[in-house]
Amino acid sequence: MATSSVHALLATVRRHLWRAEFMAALRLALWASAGLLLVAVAVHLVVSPVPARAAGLVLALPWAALFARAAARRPDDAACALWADRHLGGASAFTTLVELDRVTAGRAHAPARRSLEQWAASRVPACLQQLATLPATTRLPCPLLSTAVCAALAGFVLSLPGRLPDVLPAPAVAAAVAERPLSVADAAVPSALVNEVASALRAAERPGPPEPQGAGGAPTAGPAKAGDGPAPAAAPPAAVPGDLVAVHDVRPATPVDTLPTPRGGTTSGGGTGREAGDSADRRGDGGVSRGLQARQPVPRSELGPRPASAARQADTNQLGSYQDDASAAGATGRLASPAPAAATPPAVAESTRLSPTETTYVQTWLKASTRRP
Amino acid sequence: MAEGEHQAAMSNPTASDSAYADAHRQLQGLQSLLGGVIVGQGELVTHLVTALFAGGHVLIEGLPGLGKTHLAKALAAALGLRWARVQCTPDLMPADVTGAEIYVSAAGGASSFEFRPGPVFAQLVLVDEINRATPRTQAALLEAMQEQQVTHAGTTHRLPRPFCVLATQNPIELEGTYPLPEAQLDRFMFKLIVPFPARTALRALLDVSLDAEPSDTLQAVASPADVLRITALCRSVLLAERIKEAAVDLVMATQPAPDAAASDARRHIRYGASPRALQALIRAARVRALMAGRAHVDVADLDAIALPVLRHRILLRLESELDGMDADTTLATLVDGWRRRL
Repeated sequence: MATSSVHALLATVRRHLWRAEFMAALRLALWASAGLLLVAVAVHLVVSPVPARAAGLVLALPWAALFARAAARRPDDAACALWADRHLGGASAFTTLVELDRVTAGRAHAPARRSLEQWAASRVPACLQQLATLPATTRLPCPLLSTAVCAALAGFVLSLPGRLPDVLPAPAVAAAVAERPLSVADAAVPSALVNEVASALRAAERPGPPEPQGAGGAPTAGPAKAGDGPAPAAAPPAAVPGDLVAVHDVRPATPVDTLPTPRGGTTSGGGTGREAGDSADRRGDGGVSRGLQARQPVPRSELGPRPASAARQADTNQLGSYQDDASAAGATGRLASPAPAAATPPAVAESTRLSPTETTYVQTWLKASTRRP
Repeated sequence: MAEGEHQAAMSNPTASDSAYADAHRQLQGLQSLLGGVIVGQGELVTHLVTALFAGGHVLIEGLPGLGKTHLAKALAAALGLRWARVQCTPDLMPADVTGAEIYVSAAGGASSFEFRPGPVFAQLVLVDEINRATPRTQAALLEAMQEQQVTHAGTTHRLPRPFCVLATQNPIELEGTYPLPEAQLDRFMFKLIVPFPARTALRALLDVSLDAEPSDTLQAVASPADVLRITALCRSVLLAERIKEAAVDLVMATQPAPDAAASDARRHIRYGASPRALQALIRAARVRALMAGRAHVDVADLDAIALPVLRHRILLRLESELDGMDADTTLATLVDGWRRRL
C-alpha cells in the first residue's frame, strides 16, 4: 500500500525527532548540572557547608524535569510530516496526506488523492536515504567536559570541613586576632596602673619620710624635670625606668593623655582627682606594684654597662626635688631639701622583658614627670 | 468552440487516475514547444502558460522587438486557439474593440442592424500598447475581461472560452499615454517583465527566426477543449491548510505598515495586495503544481509566482519612490522574509 510506506517513513522520522528531543534534554541537563555544581561550591565556601546528599538531590531535579518534558513531547504525525516536507524534499505531500486522513472521506477528489499517494510513495525511498545520511547534531562534548570539571571541583570543595574562614591557616588567624581592638579587660589593667602611678606621684609631692627602698636596694628618685641637667657623675647609677630591659611584648595601653596629670605645687594631692588623703601610698611597699607581681625590674646597678642612649634618664640614685617657680630652662639640677622618693618602679627580672602593662606604667610615669611645671 | 462542448468539458471533470499525468505531459510538451520558438525566454513562457490555464489575463511589459507578439501568436498556434490582435492608439474607439452594429441590407429589401463582433471575441487577444488607448477604450476592454461578455444595445454577447487577454506596455515613450489605473491593473493575474535575452539566446535566435516565422508553421499539441479540461482539472488539485495559511501570510506581508522598523520593507508600501491577489495566487499555484507532475500544491509553487502576481498590485509611497525604491525590490525583501518564516 502506498500509504503504508508513508506511515513507515513518518515513524522513522518520529524516532529521529524524539531522539533529538532527548539529546537536547541531555545537553540542557548537563549545562544545568554544571551551573548547579558551581553554585553549590560557592554556597559551601561562603555561606554554609552543603551536604553532598542535598547537592545530589538538587542535581537530580533538572534531569528528571527535562527528561520528563522530552518524553512528553512525542512528535505527532502532523509534525513528522511537516519536518519531512521541509528537510527531506517532501514538497508538502506528506503534510497534505496527513491532513486528508483527518478530514472526512468524500471531500477530497479521489483521483487527486490517489495521485498524491502515488507521488508520496515514490518519494519515500529517497527520503529514507536522505534521513539516514543526515549528520548528527548532538554537540555533547562541550557540556560533558564542563560538567566533569565542575563535578571534580565540587567533589573537592564539598569534602572540605567548613566554610572558607574555617580552613584558613593559623598565622592568618593570629594576625586577624592581633588586629582586633583591645578588650575591656585589657584596657582595665593599664588604668589600674595609671591610678597607681598617679597616687605615687602625689605621695612624692608631699613632704614626708622617704619612701622605702625598692627591692633592688636602689634609692628611688623623683621624676626628672624637663630641663634638668645631667645627673652628677658621682651618683651611683640607679634603676631608671628608661633603662629597664623590656622582657615582654609591648602592648598598647591606655593613652597617656587620659591619665590624670599631677598639677604643679607642693600639695599635689589636692585636686588631682584621687582623694588619697594624707597617708602615704603604701601600695608600693616592697617595691612591687599590684599589677606587676612576678615581674620585678632589675636595678640598674645589677645590670651590665648602660647602653648609650640619647635620651636623658632620671638618676634614681640621686634624690630629686620639685620647685614650683623654677623655670625649666633655668633649672640646672639645683637640689633643695631632699624630697621623698617616688614610687620605685618594679624591679626587672634579669631574664624577663617588660610586659605591655609594665611598659605602660613606665610611659605614664615619664609623661607625668614631664608635665610637672 | 461550440457552447455545448464547453459545457460538457466543465461539467464532467476527469475521473481517470491518469488525468494528472496526462495533463502534466501536455503542459510539459507545450512548454518545450514554445521554448523552441521563443529562444531565451523560458520563464516568460512558463508564466504565460500558467496564466492561460489558470483562467487569467497577462500584462506584459518590455522593450520593442523582444518577441511579445511572436509569443502570443505561437501560443495560439500551439493550442489551436483563435487569436486576434488590437493595436491601441489614442483614437481607438470602444466599438473598435468590442464590436458594433451595422446596418445590413438583406435580399428582398429587408434591412436590419446586425452586430458585428470585435476582436475581443477571439480566444486569445493580443492588445498591443494598451496604455496608448484612451481610458474609455481601456474600460470597455477591461469590462469584457472581467465579465467575459459584451453588452451592446441591450444584448449580451458571451465571449468564447477559453478567453485570455495578453496586453503589452512599452516602458519607454510614455508621452501621450494613459497609464492603467490600479483598479484596472488588479484585473490582470500576472504582470511579466520581458528581459533582454542573453548572448547565447540571441545567437540561437538567428537560427530559429531569421528567415521564417516559426509560429506560422507551428503544429498544435493541444486543443481548446484540452485547455478547458486542464483548467477544470486544476481546480481539483489538493490544497493543504498549511498552503492556504502561507498564501494568506504572503498577502498580509504586503499590507502597509508606516510605523514599521527601518529594516521592514512594509514601511515603503502605501497600498497592499487585494483579496483578488490571494485568489490569483492559489489558482496559479495549482497550475504550477500540475506542471511539476503533482496533484497537490507546495509552497515552492507559491514562491515561484509571488512576484508576477503581486508586483502590479502594490503601490509604493511617494517618498520611497523618490528614494529610488521600486515594487520589485520591495517585494523581493518581503517574499524573502515570508519564505524564511515558512
